Amino acid sequence: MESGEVQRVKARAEAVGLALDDARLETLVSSLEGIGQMMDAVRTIPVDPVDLALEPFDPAWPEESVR
Amino acid sequence: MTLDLTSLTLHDAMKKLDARELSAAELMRESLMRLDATDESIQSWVEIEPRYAMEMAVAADRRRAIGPAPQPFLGIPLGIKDMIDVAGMRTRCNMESRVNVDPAHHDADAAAALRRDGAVLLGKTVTQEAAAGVVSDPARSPWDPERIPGGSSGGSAAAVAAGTCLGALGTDTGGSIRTPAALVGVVGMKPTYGRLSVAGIFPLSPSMDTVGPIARTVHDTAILYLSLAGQRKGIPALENRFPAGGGRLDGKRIGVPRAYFLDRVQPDVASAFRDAIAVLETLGAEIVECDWREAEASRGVALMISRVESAAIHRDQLRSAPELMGEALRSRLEAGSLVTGDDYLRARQARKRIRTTIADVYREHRLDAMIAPSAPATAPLAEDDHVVYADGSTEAVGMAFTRLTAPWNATGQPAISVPCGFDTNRLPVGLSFIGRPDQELALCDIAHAYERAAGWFRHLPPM
Repeated sequence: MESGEVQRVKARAEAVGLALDDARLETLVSSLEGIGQMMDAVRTIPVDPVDLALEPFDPAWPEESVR
Repeated sequence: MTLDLTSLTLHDAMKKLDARELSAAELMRESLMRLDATDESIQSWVEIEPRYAMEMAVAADRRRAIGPAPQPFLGIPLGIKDMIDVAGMRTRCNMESRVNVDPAHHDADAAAALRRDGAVLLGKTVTQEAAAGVVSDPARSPWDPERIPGGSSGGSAAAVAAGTCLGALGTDTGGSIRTPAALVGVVGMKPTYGRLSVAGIFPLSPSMDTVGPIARTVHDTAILYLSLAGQRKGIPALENRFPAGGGRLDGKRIGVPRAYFLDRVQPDVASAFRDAIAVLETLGAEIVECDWREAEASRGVALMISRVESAAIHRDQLRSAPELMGEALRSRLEAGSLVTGDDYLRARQARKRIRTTIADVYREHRLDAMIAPSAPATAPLAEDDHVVYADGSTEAVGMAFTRLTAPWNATGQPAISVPCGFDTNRLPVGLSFIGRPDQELALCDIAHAYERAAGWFRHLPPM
């Protein structure tokens, strides 16, 4: 990852109150790469942008609910 | 009398106690002796209450002496994962910051249900730190104490497999009941999300946390499930529903989503899976090849939601005393802290869409259940960080042992892992059955028929 990206991650971490030495920052950058890949998979699912999804998730299938 | 607790099932014990062929004191004594003999190497228990347990067992025998037991589990020892409150015991969550936390004042709802049905809550079993991972250190597999039992409910699964209790509670947010059940050769069921109360359980990701049973057989698992669901009266009827000889699966349609779930598994796992399909066909089930294209996205949704929510739950400690956390937990929480609100909401929105896609697959193919390997590999050595596949590629242990389970946490469906064979090192392989929402017992019907026909539950760890 570019050093500019490392600096951006460091700034974001500090902004949320995380104090990181260089080794931890390196681990975090690597972890965020993994999260980015997960998010890429999530983004393949089309969603309604105005659905804010704040209600609790209900796993029941609407036509088959036994609840 | 001599008891073999490694082969005794919960159902057997209930029958023997009711028939007065076995006393609760004998059962408890044997359980404690077994624990003494095995737990130095397995390390599946954090804390036990032997004196309390014996007192409760003796009281159970006194109660039985005056008439039939009013509760199904009267005097039977069960284990509780150390994420779940048990009155009078500490809920340490395997976290250094909670070593001296005050004992819980009340049982969690799940523990209370088992206690109400007469169970003796023998003690707390080892969890991965904060239930966030698959190793469950220091617990080890009864099949090979050099190997992990899986996690995060590794202590509960190992305790059942080692015969130190007849059932245990686990929690499952990304596979934490099913993975350890698979790796140590027992049965574990994640109920439908929201089906059982998680009140009194230390959270990992409230949008996906579930609690469920781990036991030696599907019948035992169903018994514990009914107790947890507050349906004690339904337990006797399970006797006919789950006959020891098993049953047929004529007319049942079982989906096999090969893409994603069989793309990258060890050869012995693939072989055991093929053999399981053959058994199901012999029972009359129709095997239906199907494709769920959103499986990988579903796993992404589960992991994204759990990363963000667990970072929020441990927010204060991550900032005030991160040095008290293990490296794996700390790294996970730090990364989760930097996920944007936009991405979190996107994952929540995608989850609703994914529920629709899996419902469509079941509907289109008229499926009663799907099957998939519970894990892509058998239990790794404790020092291994990665799983190695036949093509030489590797995968981090934490990612490998949630890859095939986490998609079902995003959909919220019930899923049960059942033993389905061994690898060349004589390590157990697990098969997952995934059902329709709120259809836990229907799922157990299919899993039970497979279990009895395949017979792997009869194989016991060497210790």
